Amino acid sequence: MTGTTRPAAGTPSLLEVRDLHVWFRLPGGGELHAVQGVGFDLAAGERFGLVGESGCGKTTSILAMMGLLPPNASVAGEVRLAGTDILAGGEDSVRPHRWTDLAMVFQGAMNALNPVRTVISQIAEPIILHGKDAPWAAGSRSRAAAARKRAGELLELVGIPAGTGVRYPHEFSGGMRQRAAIAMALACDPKVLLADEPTTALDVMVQAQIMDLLVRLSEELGLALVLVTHDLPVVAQVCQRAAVMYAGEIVETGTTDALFHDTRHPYTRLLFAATPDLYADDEVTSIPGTPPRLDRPVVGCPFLPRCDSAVSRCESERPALRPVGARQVAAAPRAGGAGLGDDRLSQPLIVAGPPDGDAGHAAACHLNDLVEAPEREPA
Amino acid sequence: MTADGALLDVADLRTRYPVRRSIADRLARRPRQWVRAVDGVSFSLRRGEMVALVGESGCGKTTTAQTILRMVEACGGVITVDGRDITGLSQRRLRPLRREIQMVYQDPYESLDPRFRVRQTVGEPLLVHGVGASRRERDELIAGALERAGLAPASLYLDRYPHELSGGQRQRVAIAAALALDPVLLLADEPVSMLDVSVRAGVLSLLDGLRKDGRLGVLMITHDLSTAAHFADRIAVMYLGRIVEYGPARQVVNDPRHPYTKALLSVVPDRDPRVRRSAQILRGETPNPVAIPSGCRFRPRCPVAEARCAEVDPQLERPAADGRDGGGHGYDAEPARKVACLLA
Amino acid sequence: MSAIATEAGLAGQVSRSRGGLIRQAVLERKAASLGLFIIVFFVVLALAAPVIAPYSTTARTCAVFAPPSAKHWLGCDDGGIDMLSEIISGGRVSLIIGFAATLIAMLIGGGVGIVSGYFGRWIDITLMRITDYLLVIPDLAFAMVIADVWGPSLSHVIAVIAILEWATTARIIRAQVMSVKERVYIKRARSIGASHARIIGRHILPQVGPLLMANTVLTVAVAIYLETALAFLGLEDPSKTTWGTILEHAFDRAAVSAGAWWAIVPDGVVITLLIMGCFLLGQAIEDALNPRLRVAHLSARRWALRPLAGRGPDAI
Repeated sequence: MTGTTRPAAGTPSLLEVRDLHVWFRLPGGGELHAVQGVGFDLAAGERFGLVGESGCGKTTSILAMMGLLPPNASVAGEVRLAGTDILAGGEDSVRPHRWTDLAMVFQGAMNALNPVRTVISQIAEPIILHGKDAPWAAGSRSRAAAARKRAGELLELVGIPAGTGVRYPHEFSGGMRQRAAIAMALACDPKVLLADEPTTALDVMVQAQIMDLLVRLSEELGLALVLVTHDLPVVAQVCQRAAVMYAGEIVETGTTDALFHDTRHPYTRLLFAATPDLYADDEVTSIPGTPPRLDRPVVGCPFLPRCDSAVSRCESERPALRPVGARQVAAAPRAGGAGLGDDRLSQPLIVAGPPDGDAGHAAACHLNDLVEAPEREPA
Repeated sequence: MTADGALLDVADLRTRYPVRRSIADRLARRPRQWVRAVDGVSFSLRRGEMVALVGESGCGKTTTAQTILRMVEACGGVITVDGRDITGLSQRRLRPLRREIQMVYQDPYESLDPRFRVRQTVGEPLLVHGVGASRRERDELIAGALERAGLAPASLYLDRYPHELSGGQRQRVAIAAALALDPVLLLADEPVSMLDVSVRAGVLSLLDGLRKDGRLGVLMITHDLSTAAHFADRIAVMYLGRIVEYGPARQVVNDPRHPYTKALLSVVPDRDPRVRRSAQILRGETPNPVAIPSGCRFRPRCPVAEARCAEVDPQLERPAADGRDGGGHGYDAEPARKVACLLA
Repeated sequence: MSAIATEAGLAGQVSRSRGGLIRQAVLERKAASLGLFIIVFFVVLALAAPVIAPYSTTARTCAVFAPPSAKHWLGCDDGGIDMLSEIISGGRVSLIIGFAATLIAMLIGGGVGIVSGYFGRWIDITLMRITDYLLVIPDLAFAMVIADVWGPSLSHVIAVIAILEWATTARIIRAQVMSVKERVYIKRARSIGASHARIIGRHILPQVGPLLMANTVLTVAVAIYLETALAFLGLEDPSKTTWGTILEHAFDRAAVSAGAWWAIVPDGVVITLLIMGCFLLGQAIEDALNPRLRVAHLSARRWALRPLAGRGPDAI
């Protein structure tokens, strides 16, 4: 069974993504396998981080979930919203859910606001389009008015005084424009918000404001949030669970606590090591090499050329995303390899026993099962 | 100038931009307004040192760098490079000095001409300044610069186009082009903010190594306090055109004195999910540099502002609490830490 | 670059230089290849005209308005001159006028555009005022006045067309230069101390080149059209044979009432063909240069759904 990360036991999943694949047809022929089997679960009110560097497939994954890919893309897999697979019928089955159940804040959305329309009219627009405004009387005038009122409420919700809505985007600061973009995404009361790099272009103070806003929205409205970013500290502080993506697949997933304190994939560990910390004095390192080409099938582990802890098995067998067991006694420590948190991945691990209950910590790395796990007894 | 002397000294630098006036304003004879992007900045940099100018957008850090580079004209203050006052020099007189000061820009995808091969990009400064008597000599200098920038063997990169290189490699090419003339001062404007996380440390270590060589001084502009804390010797925190806190990097980060610095540090997210700092999120955003508040410019957003903060504009000086010995003496010791706050 | 393009283009998988893009755009689009073919065809025809034209264009070789026959494929005109030879030779002259006028217009327009866009401020204001005046002048009225004052001749026609055309090019090039000027590598070149000449010559001109090329092709089309119009209005030297004068003679000498369609239609067809060819090629180059003109996201085609075969690690 694949290690899809699950929310805490007992919470029903609002969103279930299974085996999501995306291919892009290349102009010169051939295909780019941009997303290779991504899956995760999300409960209401939960904040999930999708972390990775450029080209890892994180943005493509959420665009696939929204059905917003270009014509040269093909998609496989399931995206289940409250049980129903919305991808099953292609564009036609996704469209009714777009914006009303599943909404997105695009990368650079703050710069994509229409400069010749007032901010409040732009937020009212999806409300009018999807008919999701307060009970309206016959006639367009009251419908538009009701939509405006709702747009004003949304602006207040994201921390912008409703009165300022009549201004134009260029009169807003960067942070306010980002809030407006979030308000626009919330226009039709979606259950799931996909945010693509919502804080990347912002100053650290404004970033903190937006992070605070996203946490507040998920807590107060029960909004499920998928936060796509390359910024690990933001995910560590905002999200409860996260998945690290590399070369189109998830290489490690689990609670953010587990990802930092019980790192199970060399890429995750190296990514943390490459992120400078304000107060810690450990050396900041970089990861040599570049990600693999996605237009060819990969033999063995895709991270192998850049990994500092590879074993021979990594060359021939591609590791699957599997639940990781409890750490047992460590064998002799391996030279080098700075670890983070309490445990060091450079030390070989031994898996014993079944995977941890529903902690949902999974990793795609052979180092996690250097000793074969015993065959499971038939139930 | 001795080798220990200041390589770069900036004293009370001021740069401003005029605000466009509409016809109505002109008819009403309203006074012209100015955006005071740099409003009295003073700091110095020694050879072999890295100073980080840190701040949010609109604080004037990039404008400061551009003014030092003389791409933008200062309206006040003095810029001294290697003992020479370059503030008022004409562009013609300045040209030979351009060899000494080079800048590395933020966007590696835009800072290289897409039609120039790496060899041409790195060689252009040599051609402009007539360095290198022959093609072979220039080629040697180009290869040397590339290798100094970590692109070795140089022959692998010479004939490539920018679109054939990764972001990190492009940035190294830009650094090589800056090193080609063997400058003494390197200005780096957000050198890694557009690069992937896994690549950043490499480029930053490169800059670190270059200045440790002893030949260069590096002024790094960044909004990322963590990067500044790790690589810089000294940090200058800027707000609305002024430096509000300035001192050894570790000291500024571990023992900040200015309320703005404290707030900034508190909102930097930690990569450890168990570490939850009490974030002091300031309300609103940095005000427009056209309308700088009276008294202390940070006063409207300051969590601990007092009445007197509205009347007095604090200068950058040694904090009272540090006492007489709160800093260095003479050239060899660490320069003293300074704060621009009445309450420090 | 969109996020998808970044993810799809990583590790040098999609690496195309500008020049390659243009070549690709031209060769891939059938319309553009057709346009190129047409232009090349006419250029070759024009170059080979003295050799190919079956009969003389000055001496009479057949009856007045003789219909097409085996000996004279397109019949003859009002002076008993073979139509086919006239069209071939006339094409040579028309193309010379067209290309010459365009070349002059490009040189002036490109130069003005670059200087105006690069230096800005009062140079820009002055040059653009002049450009604006020229843009506003009604083309044909201006041409008629000039023809009247200077007298009709081929070189005057070339001059008139060039004067009328350079203003549009100047505006377009200026806009492009103003945007290129802001790019970081230009600022970097300035900060190194590069001279204006160097920056314009080595950095800006190559960026502006492709646009200039697209504009040149389109301007040729306009030049051919203007030449035809000027000739038709009697503003050209009637003793020279150009596509325009052929039409002018035909109408003057009542070819229509004589029912001699061969004196009018073939000529009109070749003019239309060449103009169309220029437009096809020019538009294709422009499209290749400006990704914003692409409207893939508005197309009716959608992303495709593939059935999932297998689950988990065996999926697909």
